[in-house]
Amino acid sequence: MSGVPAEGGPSTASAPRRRNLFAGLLVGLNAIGTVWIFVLMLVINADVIGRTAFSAPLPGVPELVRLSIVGIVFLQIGYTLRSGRITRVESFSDKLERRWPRFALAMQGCYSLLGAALFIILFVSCRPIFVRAWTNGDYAGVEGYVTYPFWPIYLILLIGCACSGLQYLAFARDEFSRAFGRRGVADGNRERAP
Amino acid sequence: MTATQIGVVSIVVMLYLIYTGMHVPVAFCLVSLIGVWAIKGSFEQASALLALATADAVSTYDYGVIPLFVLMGLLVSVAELGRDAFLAANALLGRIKGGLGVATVAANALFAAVTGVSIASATVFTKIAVPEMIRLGYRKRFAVGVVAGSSVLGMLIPPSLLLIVYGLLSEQSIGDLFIAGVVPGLLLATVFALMIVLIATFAPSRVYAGANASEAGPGEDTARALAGLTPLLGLAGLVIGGIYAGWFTATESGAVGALGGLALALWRRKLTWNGAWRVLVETGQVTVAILFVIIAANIYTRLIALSGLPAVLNDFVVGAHLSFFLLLLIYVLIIVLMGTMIDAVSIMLIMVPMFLPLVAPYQVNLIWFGIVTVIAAEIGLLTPPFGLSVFVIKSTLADDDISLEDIFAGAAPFAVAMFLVLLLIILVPSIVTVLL
Repeated sequence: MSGVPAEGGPSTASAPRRRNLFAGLLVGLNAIGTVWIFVLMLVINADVIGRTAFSAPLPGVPELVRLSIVGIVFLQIGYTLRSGRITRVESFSDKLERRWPRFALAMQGCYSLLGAALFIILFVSCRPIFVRAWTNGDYAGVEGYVTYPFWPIYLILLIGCACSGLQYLAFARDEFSRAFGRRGVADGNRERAP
Repeated sequence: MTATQIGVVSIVVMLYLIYTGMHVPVAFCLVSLIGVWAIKGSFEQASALLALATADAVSTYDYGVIPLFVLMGLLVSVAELGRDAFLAANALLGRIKGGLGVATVAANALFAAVTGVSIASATVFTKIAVPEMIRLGYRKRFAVGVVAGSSVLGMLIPPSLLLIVYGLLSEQSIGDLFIAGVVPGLLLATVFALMIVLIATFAPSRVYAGANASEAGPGEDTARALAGLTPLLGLAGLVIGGIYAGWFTATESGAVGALGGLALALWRRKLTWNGAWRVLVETGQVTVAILFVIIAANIYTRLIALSGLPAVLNDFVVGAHLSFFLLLLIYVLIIVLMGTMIDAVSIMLIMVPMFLPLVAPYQVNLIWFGIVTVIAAEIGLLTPPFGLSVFVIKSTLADDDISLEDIFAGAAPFAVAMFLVLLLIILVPSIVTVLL
């Protein structure tokens, strides 16, 4: 079998393009988060070196760290989810999948739908927080030195929730179509024992 | 249903969902959301709490520790500090009975001082130590058992991801937890090493495959191998020493360590552009996976508080006249039992918020309680059917001659040794607090 990630399901002509766009979006957001981690590491070091060697700390670094973590997590959450790296116990579900593959897939599909529901709820309930930060102009940092507005972070949070919700829906669609479809349950990713 | 009943049902449902394969943070968030909704009777309040728990992550500086120490651990693996540790340990200890096994334990302890994940140790030493042991006539089952058993040192000797998670859950100082992990980690390594020597002496058939086994170390001369340790010891000294001396916070020491790891990897010309990008992407994925779970735990902790479950448990403990030792023993046994089914981080998320209010009145040191929790949770890395370290070794090995059962069997003596060390630490808390 090929190593191409299984997207599964019959599709119209424009669907693969839309999917590639979505995958590209996740990769792009992930890349921003990746660079962010590296920059954060350098900034903290600059602060430590500046403080100990030249008694000249960078102002506002702790605030930057706080905001960065949420930014990094929600930039990368969609891609991490798509890569199957969210913590999950596989021992039982693997056994179930070998025994009753269609049942296991249908159950996993339900779990994916619940995942989508969670991120929709999170998106809806976090939106007021973004709106408040945007209208009030809330910020963190040291006034007069450096300030970081909150709203971009909450915007990233909303984007991350939306991406994860969509990814869960894509998972659910794939799992259900393999569970109930005629094409069989084979997963393009997995090598099957002969 | 009363709030307490809702709390109990939530935990049971959560365990079921996690075990049957729902993403761990999704299970935590959804069940907590519904639990709070059921107790408060208002979906608006429950979802607002969920949003707050998520956005609250903004105000926690300590979360920065996670990506930085993960990055550091990956970079030192690329820089092949694990190989240095193994060569040096082998040159020093290779000639005694079961020497390669002892050297693997020692190398793990050394490597643990620059990396915080057991998985990293398991991967590195499966590649380095297992082939070497098999070449010199050790039994395969013993070789993989040693690597699995000693990989847990990575999570105990600082920096350690599990200690970080406990620190975030219990609001204890991560720096203090790191310092506290040093002595128990070294104690565990010593016990492992002694156990190997004893087995090799009195039951050699369990260690060696045939009579032709030799203990000759590699041709490398000892002085050179020891000199190769300099970067590792320097980096570990900077990171842990820096926290101990109060030069920087745990987050800052992670950043310093990551930069040090980067410098070493570049200096040794082990880092390509592609490799560097892969390390950074991997860092992001591990970070997201852990922080997502911690955000989820944030709301679960609120559910537990709302349900009043800790108070009920406390009444039970007082009513049954349980001694503190017995209470702790029950706690440890539950964790070990859960460890056979679900992963260490999930166990800590479920258990710590419930038991912290229970043990707090006993005036115990919560740093010590953290070390006890982490060791108990780590035993689960080695026990079937769900033993993360064992799975990692199996997938790294890609050798059909060695089954999962072999690795579990080989790791079993180490799990027993961990339990004994855990008992010792419970009985003699000063093992943990001596450096604090």
